[in-house]
Amino acid sequence: MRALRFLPFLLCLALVASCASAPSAAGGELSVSLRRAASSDFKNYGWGFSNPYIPFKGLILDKLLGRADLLVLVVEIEAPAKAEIQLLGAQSGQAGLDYYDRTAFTEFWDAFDGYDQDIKLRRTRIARSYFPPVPVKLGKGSSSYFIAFVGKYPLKGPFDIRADFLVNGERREVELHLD
Amino acid sequence: MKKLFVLLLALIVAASAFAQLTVAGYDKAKATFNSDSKEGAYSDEIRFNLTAKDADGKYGFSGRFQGTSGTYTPGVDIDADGTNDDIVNEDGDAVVFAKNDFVVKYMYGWASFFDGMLKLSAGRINEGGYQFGANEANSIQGNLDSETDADFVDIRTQSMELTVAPMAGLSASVIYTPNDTITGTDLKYGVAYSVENLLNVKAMMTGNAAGDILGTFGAEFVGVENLSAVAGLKLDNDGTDPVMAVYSIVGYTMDALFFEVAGQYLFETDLVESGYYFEGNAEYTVETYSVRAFGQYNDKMDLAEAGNEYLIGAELSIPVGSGEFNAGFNYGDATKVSVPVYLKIAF
Repeated sequence: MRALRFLPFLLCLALVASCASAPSAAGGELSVSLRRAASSDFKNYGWGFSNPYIPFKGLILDKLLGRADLLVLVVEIEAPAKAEIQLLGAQSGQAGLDYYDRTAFTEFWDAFDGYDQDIKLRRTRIARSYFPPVPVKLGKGSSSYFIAFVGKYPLKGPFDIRADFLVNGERREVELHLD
Repeated sequence: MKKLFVLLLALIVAASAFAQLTVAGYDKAKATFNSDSKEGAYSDEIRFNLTAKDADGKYGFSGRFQGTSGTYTPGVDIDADGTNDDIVNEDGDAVVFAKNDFVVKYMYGWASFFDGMLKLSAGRINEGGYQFGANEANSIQGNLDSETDADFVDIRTQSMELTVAPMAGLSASVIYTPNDTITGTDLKYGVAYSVENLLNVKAMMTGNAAGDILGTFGAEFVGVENLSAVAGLKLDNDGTDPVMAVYSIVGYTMDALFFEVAGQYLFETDLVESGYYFEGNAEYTVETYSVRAFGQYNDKMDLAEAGNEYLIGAELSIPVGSGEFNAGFNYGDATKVSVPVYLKIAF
């Protein structure tokens, strides 16, 4: 009977301990989504040689040799807590429309050259806004990155996009259909 | 000149066999009016770039043909003898008066092995991967970067480069530039290391015939979103004595606004010759135009435009079709008011 006198205290202790060790109620799951980038998303990156998200348009050579076109997507991430995410790869569902990781995308633009200072500026803009080619450590909150598919102009839909991510070590597939 | 065009045409035909071919270029025509000398000057530059690689990205080549005219000032004899035949263009190459000097700026082939861990480039290579520089630049800004006066980082000469990338974020290069005799200047070494969203480190070094070490080292902090802060050190030789410089470049992006300040202090053996240089600019960019205000202060160094101790200015850029129109207004204590205008068309 004497032990029953400590029962309320033990119950309170158990309650407090369970609260401390339980996952945060506000935790939830990290969400990843894709959408097609609008021109307003990259309007502050300049134009011509320096904006990496606007396809290069020449006056003569495009007509003779054809030109490349870009399908630019935004990866939007909502992280309820610290997390690590990696983009393993992406497919467009179309032959000849290939996903370029950040390194390949930088090299793609380097081929256009331009002013030396434009190259520096363009590389900086890609480095700051394109999905990194390595695992990314995220803090709580939202973040977004561009990714791009490169193909021959003009690109024609529909596109069945699929991107494979590794979120905190678990594989996750994100799909997007564009007409 | 005709041979060069034939070579260019042959290269385009040959390159079309590659899976990925990129051909791009532009012409930029610039005119500047100066209030002090009451003269107008005109110059023109052409760039033509050709890049090709196979479908797997394992081998390819890259080249740039370019022409830059000397600045043409109507009615003014530039040479002492009045012939106007030994002026130089912006790259320091001798050109014939007011005529485009069309040259191969760089042209090299490359191949990568072991899933990109090893890369070999050979030819007139274009190495720029081991340097930092001021990003926002127009015709007179962006003077500050991690290059030394020896200009060894921006290699555009016959060389071979072997690059090793053993892990993500790390790369190292050895560049061999053949000479008649083997000296310390034949070999150049570059290293770059980056930690995503935190730090980028780049270094390059070589030696000169006098046994001095010429080098550049820089570290960029990118741990705060939209901020880039570079600090570095340069070791050089002014022709008689070793010299050292420290530099810093800080940039911040805020939606459509971009700010950047860059500064350098040069330590000379003779302290009287030591000096510093600062430049800064703010740019606002939207879809239809871009405006920029800038300034620079030059203590004793020769980085500033046309020998001005200080210079301030502003400019407006407007996209025009596949190119750009740019008009500016500059004021320098030596050059007074000048109005540069240029039109750049991509072809």
